[in-house]
Amino acid sequence: MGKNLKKKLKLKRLKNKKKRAKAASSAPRQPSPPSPWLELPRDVTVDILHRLGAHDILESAQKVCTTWRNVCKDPSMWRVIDMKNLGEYHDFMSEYLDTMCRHAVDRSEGQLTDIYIDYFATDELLQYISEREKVKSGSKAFYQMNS
Amino acid sequence: MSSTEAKKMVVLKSFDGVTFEVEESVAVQFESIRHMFEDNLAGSVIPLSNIKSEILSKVIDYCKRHADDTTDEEDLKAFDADFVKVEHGTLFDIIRAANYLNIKSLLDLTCQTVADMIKGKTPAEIRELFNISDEFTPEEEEEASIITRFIYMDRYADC
Repeated sequence: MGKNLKKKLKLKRLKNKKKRAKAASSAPRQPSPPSPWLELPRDVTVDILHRLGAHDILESAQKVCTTWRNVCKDPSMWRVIDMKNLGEYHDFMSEYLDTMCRHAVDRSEGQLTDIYIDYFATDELLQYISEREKVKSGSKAFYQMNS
Repeated sequence: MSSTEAKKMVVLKSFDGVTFEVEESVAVQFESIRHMFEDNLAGSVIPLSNIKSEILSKVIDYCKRHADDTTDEEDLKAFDADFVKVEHGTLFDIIRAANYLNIKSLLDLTCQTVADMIKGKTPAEIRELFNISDEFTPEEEEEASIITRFIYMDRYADC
């Protein structure tokens, strides 16, 4: 009797397990197909995202998905750093933009060729940029100041 | 059209088998296949096995307009603005075709259009726009937001 009961229980458990497995496989947990936009050639994605400028790349694009995050890490994205026309400017933003600019320069890993900075540029920031560039590549960067 | 001094024509065949006869002066904008018709292969059909006829016809339209010296700057701008007012799927296909054919000005126009669509949007809005599922692992999410958090912490430390 005891043995039979055990057998029955075991069978029931097995059945339940199968049911669960079946439910799991037919459940809505089907991965959605990847967006075609993520299948664009890398060069094209770089071309598109680079046009956003440093602020939007760091604050939005790189947080969208793994593919874009990897593209945004590529030093080639940071050869030209555009931090101009960032909209309305307030004094309290200067520190934030300064940190962001340094981060962008770090990402260029010495490949920086042009950098466009608006009103938040300080002597210290320019010093930082020129030192990073000198140390890493010895190349000359061109700074354009807009007022 | 076909006088003795007829313009040299190039025949392009789309993925779905539709052929397009295009003046060479227009087709020279297709940088990546230029050598095919310049190497004296005039008359032979150039297969473009990854471009649908619907897209190829649009791309040819664009190149025709841009090869026409008589169009003035303003009209061309208006044409371009109108040209990119298409569904996302079509825009995507045009980008791929422009990249494959290496038509720089068209790639420029379409990439700028997509960038303008993204600009100023949050990551969630961008994901929705392009139907991108959030494939970040929690660690990656953390890493991506590190700079922002660092910056904000810095700023509010004094408050």
